[in-house]
Amino acid sequence: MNGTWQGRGMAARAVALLAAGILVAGCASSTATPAAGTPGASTAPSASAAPATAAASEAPTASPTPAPTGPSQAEIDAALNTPTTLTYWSWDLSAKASVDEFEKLHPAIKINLTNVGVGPAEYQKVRTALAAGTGVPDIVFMEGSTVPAFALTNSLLDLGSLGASSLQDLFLPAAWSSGVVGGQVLGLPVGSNATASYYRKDLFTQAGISTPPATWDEFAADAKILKDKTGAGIADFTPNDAGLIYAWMYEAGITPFDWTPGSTHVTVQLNSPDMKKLMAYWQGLIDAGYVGSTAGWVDAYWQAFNSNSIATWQAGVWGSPVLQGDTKTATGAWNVAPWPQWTAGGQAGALWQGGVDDVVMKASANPIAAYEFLKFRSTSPQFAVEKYTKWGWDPVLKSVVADPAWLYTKDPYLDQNANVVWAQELSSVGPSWHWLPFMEYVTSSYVDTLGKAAADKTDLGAGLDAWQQAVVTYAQQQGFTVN
Amino acid sequence: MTVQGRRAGGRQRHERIAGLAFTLPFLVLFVALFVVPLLYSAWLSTFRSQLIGGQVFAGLANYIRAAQDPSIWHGISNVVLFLVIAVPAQLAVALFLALVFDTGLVKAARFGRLGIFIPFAVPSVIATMMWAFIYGTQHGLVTQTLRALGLPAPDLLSSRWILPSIMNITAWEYVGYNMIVFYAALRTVPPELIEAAAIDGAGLWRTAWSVKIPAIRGALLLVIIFSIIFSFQLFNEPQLLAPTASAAIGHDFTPNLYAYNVAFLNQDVNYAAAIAFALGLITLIPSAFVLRVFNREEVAS
Repeated sequence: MNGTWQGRGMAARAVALLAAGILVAGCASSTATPAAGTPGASTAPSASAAPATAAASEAPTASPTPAPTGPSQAEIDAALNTPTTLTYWSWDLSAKASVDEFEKLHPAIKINLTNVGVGPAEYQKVRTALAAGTGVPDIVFMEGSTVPAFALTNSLLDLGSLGASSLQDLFLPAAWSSGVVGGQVLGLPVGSNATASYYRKDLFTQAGISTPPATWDEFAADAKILKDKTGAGIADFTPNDAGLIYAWMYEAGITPFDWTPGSTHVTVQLNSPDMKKLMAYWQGLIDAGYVGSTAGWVDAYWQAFNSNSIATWQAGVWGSPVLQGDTKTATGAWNVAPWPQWTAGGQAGALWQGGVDDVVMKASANPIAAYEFLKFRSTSPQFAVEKYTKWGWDPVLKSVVADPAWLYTKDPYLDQNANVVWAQELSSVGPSWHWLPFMEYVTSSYVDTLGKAAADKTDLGAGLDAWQQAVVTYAQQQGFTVN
Repeated sequence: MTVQGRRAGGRQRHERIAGLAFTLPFLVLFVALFVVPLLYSAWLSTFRSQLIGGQVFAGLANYIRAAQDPSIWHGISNVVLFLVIAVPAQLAVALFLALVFDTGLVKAARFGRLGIFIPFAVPSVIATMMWAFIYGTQHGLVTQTLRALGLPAPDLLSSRWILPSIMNITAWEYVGYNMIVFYAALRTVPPELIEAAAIDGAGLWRTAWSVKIPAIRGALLLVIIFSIIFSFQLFNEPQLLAPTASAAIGHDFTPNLYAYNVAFLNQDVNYAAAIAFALGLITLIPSAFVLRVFNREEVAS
């Protein structure tokens, strides 16, 4: 069990640290889809609509209601009954279990599962294989934030052509949008990654605060009380982890990035007035000494938790096993609560790096079988509840969020029905966030700019300017037009 | 005369073939694993790759870009600081220790030499991790000790202290190695020279300064050149400390680190190749300077 949590920590670290965010792109399209009636057509101009229509016309039973696009059942059965070997690169802990289950259901299919590295290490190997033109896996597990990067190089199969669009209603909107770029379904969501606020119940009680802060104003007020009564800082502005910063932006309704597949234009607004305002809030807490800036995910960070120096932690559902595995804080010391809001009674949420998806590479020789595996992993009911109670992702399926077996599973470490909080957060996350097709650079340059300003306790606004400039320069060097 | 000459010529040819046969395995590997990759990256460095637009021939544009890139100069200024502060200090300590051991006046000398050398046998990855824990701001050994003494504890992993902290790690790792090189060279100094100096009335300091150190200039030169190259290639220590000291160690902390990040984070292999090449050329400058200084002294003496 310990090994499992250790692994989860690793994965979470990778999600958090280097890789880029997700992409909840293509959201605009999902609202338009019902109107169009043809799943997959959506607002995306020609690219995705064309194959979808082509596939639909093959379906013999064309009825007034547009049938789901994609291969016929006979074609699917043929693909699943033909002895086939698929290669699947994944660092997801639930990958092995799903491969075993799928192989049991379809003995003709053999899936070679390889963990080639966590997060960016894996993406690098995928890029190498793509550049070499050989050894490209059929299926890859990746963060939603990375999907646009591979969409840019046109390396991913449009799953809409295999009928994926018909699955949309099964998924929570934000989770679904993590695999959709510019209206094309390029990945099926495996896990979602809503963010909530972990807080130290014992420290809050010691400070005489009975409920966790519901607004950011309360958060700032509590920060002072906590500092005065317990000496603890209320949070940590991780200078090496842009994932947290993206989540703050997301929750504040700030969308600094935009890109549409096929376009050579990107929008980058990291130093907008809204961003300056958001950072001014944190600057106040840092300057007052209520918020620290210890580098995240390293020993010193966990030590800060152990020495009761950090009273809240914004993280995903994986936060609980990470706290349990990496810190020595006691069972029941932490609870999880909804995010503080900018407006009282607000319902804003955020996805941390946007969740995780499986994608099928365009180079795959067996796309139908590969897609059937994706579908199984993402939607199989017999697999889903177990996946989310055991493997540390938030559910992506509406049915699971409504399922008491998941909803009322107690988190033994938090000693709390935490999933009730996660369900609330999941429902409040809007699919409104877009990512750039080079988030690895954006995330790494954060460390040199805004992150550095936080660590050195200098002007965060200047840090934002430097970040903006670094990203704009990079984008231009890469041949994009900016803003 | 002619017969002898022919015979000698035959032997020469024979030796040449034998020599070639012996060096061939090395040459094959050298060409395949060093020369070819080197040429390949030189070739790569003349292209420009963009996410939009792909790869186009760019001539020397990458080198011009490198010359104007503040990140490069930031990295170079760090390694130059390292070169002018850490390298002389490390060499002085190593030389001093070697001279002390060479006097034969130290008790348990073998144990002492081994003790000082052992850090070199510790892989630099392990050494850096170990020091990262020692430097740690929360529960690091240094912090705890200073706090116990009631002294303020500096954050050794902050922007201000990171370079001295890294210098200390490399000193710990390499002083022993350099000392052994010096010590081995000192053992080859003819005893007559030292005896003669003693008869002339030279004390330990005078003997060391006027006899022993000049006698091992070859070893000194070797170690200095190695240290210069090492400084410019500084990578392992900052790369491993970067997660802990993210604010202090940027992606351009040293030129090598920057080239790595340009290649693997920014996905700009061509520019990275240009940086690596430029760095190689820049490393030649101080190396050539040191060689020149030594040669001039040789002529003068």
